[in-house]
Amino acid sequence: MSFSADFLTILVYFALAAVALGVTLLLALLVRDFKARRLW
Amino acid sequence: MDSRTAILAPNTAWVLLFGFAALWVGLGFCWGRRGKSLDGFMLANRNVGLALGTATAVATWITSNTTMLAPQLALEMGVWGMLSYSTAAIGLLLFAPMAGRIRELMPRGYTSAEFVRLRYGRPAYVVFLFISLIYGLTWLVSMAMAGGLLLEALAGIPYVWGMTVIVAVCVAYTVVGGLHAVIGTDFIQSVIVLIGVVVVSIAVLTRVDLSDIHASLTANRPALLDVAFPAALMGVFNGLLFGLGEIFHSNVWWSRALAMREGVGPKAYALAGLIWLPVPILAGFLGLAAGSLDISVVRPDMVGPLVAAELLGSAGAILVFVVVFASLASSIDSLLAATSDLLVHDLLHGVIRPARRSPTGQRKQIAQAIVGLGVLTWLLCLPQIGTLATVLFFAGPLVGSTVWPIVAGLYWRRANPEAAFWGMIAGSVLGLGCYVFVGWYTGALVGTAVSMVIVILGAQLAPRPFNWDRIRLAESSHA
Repeated sequence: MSFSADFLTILVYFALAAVALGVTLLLALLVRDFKARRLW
Repeated sequence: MDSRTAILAPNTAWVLLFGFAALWVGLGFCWGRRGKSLDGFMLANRNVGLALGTATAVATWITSNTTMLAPQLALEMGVWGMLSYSTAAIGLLLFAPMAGRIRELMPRGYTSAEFVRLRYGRPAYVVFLFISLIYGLTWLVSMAMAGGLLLEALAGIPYVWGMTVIVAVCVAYTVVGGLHAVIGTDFIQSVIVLIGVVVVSIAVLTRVDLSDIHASLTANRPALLDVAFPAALMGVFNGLLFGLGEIFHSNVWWSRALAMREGVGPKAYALAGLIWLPVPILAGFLGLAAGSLDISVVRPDMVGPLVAAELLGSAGAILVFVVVFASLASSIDSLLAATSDLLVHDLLHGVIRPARRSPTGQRKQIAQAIVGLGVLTWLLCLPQIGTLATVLFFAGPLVGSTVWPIVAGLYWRRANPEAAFWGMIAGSVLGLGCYVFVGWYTGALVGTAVSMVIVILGAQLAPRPFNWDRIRLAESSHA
């Protein structure tokens, strides 16, 4: 039994979206903490 | 210079190295002004917010292995190779509730070893400290050595020069800025790495179709798509346990938990686990794509950079170089800070000279320890022992044996100190024996299992009810 092309496609695009979302989230949190003077 | 793998001209690489070195050290000076006190230098005044807390966990867990080894694993073990590496995120996710518990139990604490001393007493403390220091130094040396080798492979910079610059830069900004510098630069480094991985992946996806990659693998290397690939499945299990041991015991993660503002730790580690989880999958995808792109792979660990350079040209080469440098620095600085804390706070003032010195004295000694550790790392890296990755795996049974003493110590009132001590000793010895005589993939598994049995039996057969307030009281008496 092999991983299908559809599985591979979903896996890679999901990972791409997740990493892009992750870096966006980090930047958004930075802005929020900076505005609230809660960076450190 | 290895002309088969170099993707960047040495002059460009040197300009990038010095540019980033100046940036990190400058930021270290700037942020270091916040860390004049011992708490400020060691723990960033215990006030780190969610953004920086999350980013520092992501950046520290993204080592050069994540960007270089994940594509290699995918190249050699296929889809399971990509997935197996990403299971290391489970360690971060499981550490999330522990970060809250650590902060609750020792709000004025400094290190993981200090917790073991207060919870289990001196014998377990000495064993735990020994394992932590051995592991910290081994990881540090392997990262610095990987740095020298990677800069040589990527840009033809001689190994000794590349390794020296990386170690010197990390030592410089960690000494002047303490944990503020480490955490601040970690944010920038994590953003660089994440954006770099996304950009390269998009470049690959615009060039080749995933169905073509699948068809190419089916025709040429069908084992890489096999759902039941035995070697890869065993690798998943060993990697998972090794990752748990690494995170649960290491002061790198404990010091961050103690540095984060109250209530931030659990959220930051959970978010970091979720953000980190897809990174090895995406990095691994570059390894799978190499076959469809007709890229000649002369060194498996260079497959990711080669794919990036092939698709994005000189811009891709620069991007890869910066990503690799950032991923190395983010781990080396964290190890320098956390290991020097253990050396001064626990080895010097806990074992050798138990009478505590003034906070100002300790702050100065930690700065000196960072420099000393940097010099020691540099000396150990000079001979360029290429097999140090094996030594790092050798530490698997040691760190595996600490998982249960730590978890039981944090949550199980009845956990027995002698059982924790013998669990670490027996787990390490038997785990190392299996590593040597049975196979590398059994080391962490056996170390963890043996320690688990001893810790559970100890708590059941000879329970030693513990009053959690003893930790808080011991801390407040030192404050």
